[in-house]
Order: sequence, then C-alpha cells, then structure tokens
Amino acid sequence: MSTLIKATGLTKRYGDKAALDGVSFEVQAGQIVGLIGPNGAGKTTALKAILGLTGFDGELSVLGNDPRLARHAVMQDVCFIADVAVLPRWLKVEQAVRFVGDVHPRFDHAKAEAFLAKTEIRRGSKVGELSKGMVTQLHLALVMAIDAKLLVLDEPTLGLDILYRKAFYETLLSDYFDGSRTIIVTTHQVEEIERILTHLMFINHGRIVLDASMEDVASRYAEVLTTPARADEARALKPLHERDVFGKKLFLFEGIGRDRLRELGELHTPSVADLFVAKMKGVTA
Amino acid sequence: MNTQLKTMTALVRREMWEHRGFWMVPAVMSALLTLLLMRVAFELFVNVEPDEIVRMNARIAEDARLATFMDQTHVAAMAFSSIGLAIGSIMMFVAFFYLLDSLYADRRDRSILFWRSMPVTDVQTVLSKLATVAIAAPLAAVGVLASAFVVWGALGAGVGLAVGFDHWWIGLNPLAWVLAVVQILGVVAGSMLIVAPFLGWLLLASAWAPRAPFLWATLPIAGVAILEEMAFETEYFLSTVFGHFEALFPKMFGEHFEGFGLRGSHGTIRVASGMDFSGAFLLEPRLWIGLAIAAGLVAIAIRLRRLRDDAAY
Repeated sequence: MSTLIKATGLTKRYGDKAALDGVSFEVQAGQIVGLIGPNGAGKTTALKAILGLTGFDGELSVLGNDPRLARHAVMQDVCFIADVAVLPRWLKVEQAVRFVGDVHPRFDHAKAEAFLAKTEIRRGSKVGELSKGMVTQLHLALVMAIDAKLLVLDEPTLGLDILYRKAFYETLLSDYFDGSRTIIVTTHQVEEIERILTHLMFINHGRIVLDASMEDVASRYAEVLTTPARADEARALKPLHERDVFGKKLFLFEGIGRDRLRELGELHTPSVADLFVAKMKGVTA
Repeated sequence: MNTQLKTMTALVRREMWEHRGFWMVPAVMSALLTLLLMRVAFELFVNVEPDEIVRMNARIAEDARLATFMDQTHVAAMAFSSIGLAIGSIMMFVAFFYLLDSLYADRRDRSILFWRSMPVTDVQTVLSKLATVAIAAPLAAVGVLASAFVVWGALGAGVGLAVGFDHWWIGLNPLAWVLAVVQILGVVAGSMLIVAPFLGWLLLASAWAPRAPFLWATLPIAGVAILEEMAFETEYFLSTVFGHFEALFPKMFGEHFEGFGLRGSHGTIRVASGMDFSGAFLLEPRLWIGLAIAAGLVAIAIRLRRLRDDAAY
C-alpha cells in the first residue's frame, strides 16, 4: 500500500484559536476514512489543507505534492464534494458535464452519462431547477466519472432526505469504490457511513483523538451490558464511558481483554456513534 | 488541442453561458432598432414626395465623395459601424458589471468550491474573465450585429426600391458589412488597450470585496480624490485617471476622422469618408504605463483570489 497523504505537525490558527494543533496522520491508498468530529473540531480545516484551499504550518504531502505549492498538480488526482448545492444555480446539467469534460483530463463522458441515466435529472435543466437531492446526484455523477486517486467528501449528504442519503453511499460503494481508490468523508450522520469505512479518525479541538482501522476499533473497544449491581466492578476497570439502558448499565472499555469483560455481562462491539460520544465526552454519569 | 488552450476555451465558454447578456443585450437592442427602422421606413414610404427622391438621386449622382463603388461601400460601412458602436457603448456597462461580479458572485453563492475542485489555476480563472470581456464578449456582440446589418440592409433595400431610390442596394453590400465589423473590432481592440488599467482595477475590486464590489470599486477612487482635494486642493489624481482616456482615445484616429455617424444638414449628406485609424496611441508612453499598471492589478487580483477563497469556505 502506498501512502497517499502524510501530515506531520499540521497546524492552522485563526487568531489565537488553533483549528489544527500539530496534527499528524497518514492515509494509505485504498482506505475509506471517516473523519469525525464535533462542529469546529478542525475537520473542514484539515480537508481544506489537503485540498490546497488554505495555508498552514507543518508538513503535508498529498500524492507526493505540497498542496500549498502545487495545488494544480494535486487537483489532477483529487476530487471533492464540499457540501450540497455548491453547483451554481445558473448552470445547466449538460453544461456541467461538458465543462468538467473539457477541464479535467481524467473525466469519462460515457461514465457520467451512465450515472445520470439512472437518475431523473434532465440534461436541459438548470441546477436551480433541481431538488437538493438531484443536485447531489449530479455532483456525484460528475465526480465519479473522474478517475481520481483521492475523493474528499465534506458533509456530502447534508440536508438530504434519508432516501437520497442511503442511495448516495450505496452508489459510491457499488459504482465507484474498487479497492484502489481512496475516500475521505466527514459527516454528522456517522451511523450511515460506519459500514462502508475501513478507517476511523476522530478529531476534537484540533487534535486527533482516535486514528485506527475498523478492525482495530472492533478489537480494542468493547461494550458490556451489565446489571446495576455489578456497576462498581465494571467501573474498577476504568471504562471510557457509561450510560443507562433500560434499567441496565452499558460500559464502553478500551483495551480490556474480552474474556475479562464477558464475565461482567453481554458483550458488544460499540457503534461508531457510541464510540464517538465516549471519546468526546469521556465518562459521564 | 493543447490543454492550456482547451481549459481556457472551456473557462471562457463557461463565462458566456453564465452571462448571456453579452449577446442578448445587443440582440435586444438590435431588435428594438429594427422595429424603429421599420416604422421610419413605413413613414417614409407613406409620406415621401416623388420629387424629393428624384432630387436626392440627382444629388448623390453629382456628389464626388460618393462617385465610386468603394466610396459607397465606405458610406454604408460607416453607417453600420456607427450604429454598432452606439450599441457597443452600452456594452461597456454590461462589461463593467460583469467584471465587478466576476470574482465575487461565485464566492457569494459558494459555487467557488465547485470551480476550485477542478484542475484550474487561479491564473487561468482570472485571465479567462479578462479574455471574456476583452475578446469573447465583443466577438459575440459583433456576431449579433453582423446579422442585424443584413436585416437592416434588406430593410433599406426594400424601402429604397419601393420609393425609387437609385442606390437602394447600398446596405446590401457584403463588403460594407465586413468593413463595418472590422471597424468595430478595431475600435474595441484599441479601447480595450486604453481602458486596461480600469479593467484590472475592477477585477481587483471583485476579487477583494467581502461584499458590495461596486462600492469597493468606486469609493476608493472617490476617497483618494476627495482626500487630495482636502489636503492639497489639487485634482491631480482624477485628472491623471481620466486624462488617460482623454489623451489616448483621440489618438486612435487620424486627421481625416470626422466622427461617427451620418450628419445630415440642409439636405446634404455629409459622411466621413471612412474610419481613419491611427496607431499613434500605441506610441504613447502613457498607454504602456497603463498596461503595466493593468498587469500589476491583475496579478494582485490573482493573489487575492486565493486568499479570499480561504475565507469563503
């Protein structure tokens, strides 16, 4: 596997607030990385740095280039969908397809047409006449037709209804991802993407608080459902997080042997959302 | 096609998609003018005195300045280019607002994130806006005008034939259309070189403005002028800015230039014998200083394009 992105001591300050505080991480080719964090945690700043849309301190290499100096070279191999509805309202569907085809050397016209054929989007429509979901479908069709090495998705399904959201990720997985491509995605709807991720990265207050593969997450973290009577026993093992579930206690542990935990009660692999809450808040009563 | 050129063509085409006014404004103006001309032609047809036409035919036959086919071609071309340039002067307003919006509108609606997700450099983006206003838009407008010339020529021929005017065919002369197009493009090309610093300034204001690019474009100029007036009681700044245009525009034309337009006085038709271009303005240091300033302003606009985007996302 080759390293696609390598960040070392990535720092970005807005005034005296650090959006990124000496962050280091790597993304390998073929990974689908979920970059998860609360609002203002530094997700978007990290993505902007990768895309060459902002200056920063520290070192960052994207496909072997510094995005500050060689944005143009980086953008040959990187695509991104920043948010819904950033396609300009006046642009017609056929114009969008033609434009991307003209400026992007890796754009496959036939592919874009094939993706669009599966939707109800009419070629002559303006973006302003399409529903929010259709605009995202169009954007995704344009991006998926580009043979890029890295796809960056920043809240791509924000404001879409559940049907479009599900279809978005299904299309992405079935029609785009082939094991050699790399995707970085941020979203608040963690539960919708957790099954497609290969890697998980939590970010909070400009720092990486978790950076692991999904297999690592499954082996390192475990949830135990136990009776209130055994709560103190469980607390002795220093859980990351505990909460009440239907009169029972649910504890989330890191790095405790499964055999030991099984003695306490029913064992589960935590969902990304639960892990996220645990990591962000720590122990709450 | 070379990639650079292909990208630039695509960027300019994108501008023309968004700003349809570049061809629609001249199209609507031409259509309105056509309606007006039809009305005039009808009135002429209804009210004309046969004697008047006979006298006019005789006068033209005697006029030495209209003796040869080329003389007559020049007259027709001059008429066409005059109307064309009148419409063209309105296009200056379209161009003004286009430039103000060019590096601002996509930041406001956030579509800049889409444009910047493509492998296009800031240099290419900014230069494509300049190429649109200086090259593509004038060509589009002239294309519309050229088709209007054909319509107006046919209209003139129709009414000329109907009233018995000997030179009824004068507006149907394709050479006159071509000449008029060349004349208009010549004036536009020269004008673009002269107003270049102004174009650069508008791009800079558009790239800079956090909002209200119109105010960012106009208030600093007014502010400097007012401060200078208050501090030194002079108007050196304004006279330099506007003096640039006053000094250079007349030098685009030679001594034989008699202004645009047909001038009828006391029954005689007096027409400039043709567009007398002069390259004199190209030798003025002022022009080159202006072009250097324009290049500097565009370079700053390119830098700002990157900085401002940072703030927009």
